[in-house]
Amino acid sequence: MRYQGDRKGSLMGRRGFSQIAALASVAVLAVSACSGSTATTAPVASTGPVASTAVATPTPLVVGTPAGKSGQIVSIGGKDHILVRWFVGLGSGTNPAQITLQQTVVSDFNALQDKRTDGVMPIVLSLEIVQNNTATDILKTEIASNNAPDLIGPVGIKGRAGFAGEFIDMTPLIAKAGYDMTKYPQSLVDTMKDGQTGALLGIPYAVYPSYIFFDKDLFDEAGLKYPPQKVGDQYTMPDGSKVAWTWDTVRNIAMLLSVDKNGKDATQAGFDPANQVQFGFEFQWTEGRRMASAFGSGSFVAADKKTAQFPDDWKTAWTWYYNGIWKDHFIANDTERNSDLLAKGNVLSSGHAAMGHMFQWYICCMSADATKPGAFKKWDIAVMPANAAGKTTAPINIDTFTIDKNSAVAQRAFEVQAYIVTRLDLMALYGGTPAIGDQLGYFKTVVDPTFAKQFPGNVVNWQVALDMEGYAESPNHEAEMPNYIKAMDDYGKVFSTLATTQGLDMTKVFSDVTTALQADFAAGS
Amino acid sequence: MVIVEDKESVHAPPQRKMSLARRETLWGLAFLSPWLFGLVVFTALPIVASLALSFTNFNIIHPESIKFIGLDNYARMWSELLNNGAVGSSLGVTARFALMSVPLLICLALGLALLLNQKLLAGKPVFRTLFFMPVQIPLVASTIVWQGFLNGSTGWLAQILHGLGLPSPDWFSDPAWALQGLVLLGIWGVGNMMLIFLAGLQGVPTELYEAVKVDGGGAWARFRHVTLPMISPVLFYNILISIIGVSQYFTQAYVIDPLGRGNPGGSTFFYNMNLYKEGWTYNNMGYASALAWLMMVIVVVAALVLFRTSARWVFYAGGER
Amino acid sequence: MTGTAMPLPSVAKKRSTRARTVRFGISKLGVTLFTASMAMIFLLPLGYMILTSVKDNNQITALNAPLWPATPEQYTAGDGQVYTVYQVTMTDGTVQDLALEKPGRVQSTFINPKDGTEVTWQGNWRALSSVWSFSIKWDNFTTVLDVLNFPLLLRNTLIVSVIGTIGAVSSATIVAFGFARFRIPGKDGLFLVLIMTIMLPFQVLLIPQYIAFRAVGWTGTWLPLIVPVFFANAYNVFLLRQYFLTLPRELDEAAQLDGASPLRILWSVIVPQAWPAIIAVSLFHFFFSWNDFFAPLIYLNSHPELATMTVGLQAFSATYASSGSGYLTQAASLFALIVPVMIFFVAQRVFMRGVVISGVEK
Repeated sequence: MRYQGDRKGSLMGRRGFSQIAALASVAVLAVSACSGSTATTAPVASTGPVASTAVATPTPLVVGTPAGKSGQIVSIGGKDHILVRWFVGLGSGTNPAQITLQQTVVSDFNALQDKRTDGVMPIVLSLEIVQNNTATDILKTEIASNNAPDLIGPVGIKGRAGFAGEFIDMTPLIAKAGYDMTKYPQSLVDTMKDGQTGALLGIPYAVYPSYIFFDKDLFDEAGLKYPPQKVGDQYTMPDGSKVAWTWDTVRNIAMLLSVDKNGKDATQAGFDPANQVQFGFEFQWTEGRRMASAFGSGSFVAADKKTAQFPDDWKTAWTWYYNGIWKDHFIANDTERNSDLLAKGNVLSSGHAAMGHMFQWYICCMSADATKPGAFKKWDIAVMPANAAGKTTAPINIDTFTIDKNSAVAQRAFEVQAYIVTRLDLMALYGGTPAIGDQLGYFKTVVDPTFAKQFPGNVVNWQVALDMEGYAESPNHEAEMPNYIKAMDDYGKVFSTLATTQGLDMTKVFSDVTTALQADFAAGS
Repeated sequence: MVIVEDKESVHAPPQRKMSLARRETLWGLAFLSPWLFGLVVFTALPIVASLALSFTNFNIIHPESIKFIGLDNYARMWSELLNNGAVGSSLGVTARFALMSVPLLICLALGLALLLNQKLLAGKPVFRTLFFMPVQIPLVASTIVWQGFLNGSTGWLAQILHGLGLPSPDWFSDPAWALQGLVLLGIWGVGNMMLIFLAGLQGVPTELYEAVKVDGGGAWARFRHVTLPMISPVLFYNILISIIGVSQYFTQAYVIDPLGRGNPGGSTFFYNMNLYKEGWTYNNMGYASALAWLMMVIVVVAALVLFRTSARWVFYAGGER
Repeated sequence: MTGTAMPLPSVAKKRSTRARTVRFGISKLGVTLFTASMAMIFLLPLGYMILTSVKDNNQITALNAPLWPATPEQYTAGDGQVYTVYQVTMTDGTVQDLALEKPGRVQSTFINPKDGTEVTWQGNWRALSSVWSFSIKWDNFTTVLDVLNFPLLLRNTLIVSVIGTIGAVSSATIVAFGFARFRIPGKDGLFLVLIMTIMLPFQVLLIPQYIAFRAVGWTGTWLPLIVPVFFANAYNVFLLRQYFLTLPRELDEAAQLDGASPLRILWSVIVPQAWPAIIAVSLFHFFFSWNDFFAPLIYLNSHPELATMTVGLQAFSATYASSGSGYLTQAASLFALIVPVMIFFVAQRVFMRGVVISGVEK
């Protein structure tokens, strides 16, 4: 048979060409439409690191200066500079306001260096910011290809965990700089140590204690008294009885603060958990060890550093949490937590959670504008409740700056971090508290002014934050375990089922965790 | 069918045939040369490197301490396969997902392509654009949309189901439903395959349909005896590419559980997620490379089976040689 | 059919034509309506995406909020406090718009916005609806544009995708022709090798690739994203080869007898017949390149002036999605969708030929 090819062929051909022409013109139009506005902002890469540091970054979220090799000598204005690279992304530092301030800090630092007259070659600091969710992968790629940055931070214990053996022991640099480490609380210094080698990986920088955030409006609506702001203060129940501020008390009032759409609270008959619209308590963005440590310090690994264990306080904690979700209905389950009503996980900001446990870094991103994410109206902070034994424990995060082991300019990188640490404005934007020094003064002069502007009339009692630092957990909930990341994944897997699965046998949950951890510990040693 | 018949119209004398064959080979190689060059320069190196790394303990943050460890990685893989460790369970998740999603997507894509190729349909350009649109949304963004859409309490689907008096699954919060949720999400990516089928349908000569009509065949006969054989080459392509796609399924599951543990309850712990965790989270890139090569072997076997059977069901109007 | 009882032949013909047209019209309407309803179901999540992208945090987390974008009416009291206005059913059965001053479990205090008087009301305030008025939050898009340099991202992405597409399609066409039409010893083996190149996941290839590109100094440029594309990718070659194989050989052979070279045959015989597949491949590569994330992220890391759309979007969503503001991510993604959709709409017309499926000829 004769195929109709040639007729169709030419026809399709013409049409094809016109398609391509049309496509090309769309593309050209689009390119020309935007090139006009970008001509002014696109920096020229070839002018070197300083030129682009100075240029206003067009995309505040994708930040960096062309990263030369660390330790490279760069000539700027006829003067030799030594390049030091600062990597941000493993911890705080990736929201737009923080990014902008970090850029300012870098240009301030570079300006200071330019002015130095002591004969030491000035530093040119180059900043690389990678969003949290990809930071680990990017940093590992750079390390694997022998292109690691020099200064890495702010970073906490967990952020460092994937990089065992990657950071230098800072002890000699600290000794050389003449720092007095005894000024720092020993518990904070301990968290800076490499779990395997005991090397000191950094100096405690930003401390983020945790406490209870609460929504005053929701307490008012329920006719309940606010939670206590001093350890040891009692709580007055609606019937006038005074009770100790314990996790039991939290449960009891959280149930009163959990409401369904008919207005019934979780203690009332006919309460409808399927249509719950308000929750009494939330462990926001939580994690198995963090929430457990709020009930008492502990560790999954015994003192011998190889036996898996499940501390009794932690069993109590997990059970409290599980019952809070499925039995007493004062904590949202996984579905509810990720719903639009509860702001897809940022539950405390949704206006439908009365209390929550959170770290201080959370204040970085609170907003008084209800139309914006992280919205809050009238709020304050309260102390952590005590456990059954009457002991109060506050989980704590501590960030530091670390230096890469392959850095050719470790000494200079140390100089950079010594400068960054003095920038309390940056500290405030990270939501941290300085590890030493006048902390209350810091809150009064640096933090309060910005908060008073944002939340007029809403005075936050920062003394609570300072007090909670005094009740910090020890060991830290993020402390070392053998085979750290794998172990974290394995208990994390089980912990997440507490919020997704009803009808769990808690005894089995505990034994599952210890079995999995024991295997990890054995494999890791 | 008539098309295959007049193939050997050129009868060259035997002597010239030799040189013709050689010339044909040379021309063919010339046409393959861009790819061959790229293969040597860009593609082969990482592939060979990954094979070599699979016999080492390569740790991505300690590249300097790399050591040849023989078949240790493969031995570990074997044991994790046998005792239903990470390899076994992640293969299970991947296979379950493949069985649910590949046939569904292929049928759906073919159905849509037939529908959007209909004479009887008005506004084809608009519909084609609409059905293709979700493919153009970056995967991360579309997965976030589906998380909201499928949420068991405030998601639209749950609200519709509740409105109809039906219970709604918790999808990504329920180990028993998360995989099905991902299958649903996958339907949003049907546009690519649909487009390939549409392209295939353009190559079906209209005369063939008329021939069936003359023979008194109905719509089914036209589909069965003309459309299906004529587009079988692209159907073959779609099947093989979907299998490769599932073997590397990652992004959506990673958005559902950014820690890559396959939550809820390990139900979305895909093979490639395990590979990513090993290579990038636990830094065992040597072992991850071995995992990649195991999957490579599995997919190559699947591909070979497909190629072998293709003689029976794939019809090349231009002949295959 | 020439009975006297029958109408005149010409009239009968006209009528049957008209009947056929009507029947055709009805089936067309039916098929179109069916497709439209399918499209509606298919695009429900997109509807959710669009509506969410023009709402604000306040509405998204509100109780009893409408589906459409809206703002609740607010009342500012004399002391400067702002309260939300609700529709309240009073004891006498009338409905009044009152501002909720002090919500309570059993009774709540409202302010009448008209005269500022306080009203005490018994009931469950959570069941009340606010007074919503339609309002689209264009602010979300402004926020996106404030944070992301859209023109720059768009320009970069277009450059990378357009150049890449040209390279990908031309090289794939050439190589696919080689695989489809020539007898080469060991071709099956080569073809298997071709397909094997896409069987390894990028996660294990990344580091060797990165090291190689860094060694030649290509990191921090677009070269790793563009140059390899010019050497034929297996997805594209495989698809085009499949399509070329469906093309009958008569035309090739006729051209060959006329003395045309293989290049000439590819250009004048194969390509014109294969436009649908070539356009499909162009679109795939274009959208692949448009949505490619990890490669631009690592190769262009620290080079914001070269960043592509997805890198920007990803950074954006990483910042905002975790803080509960996925709606901003969705606004950004929608914004980024405009150009690709336009391009697709123009390009898809190549699939216009269609086949005669119905019993009715056109």
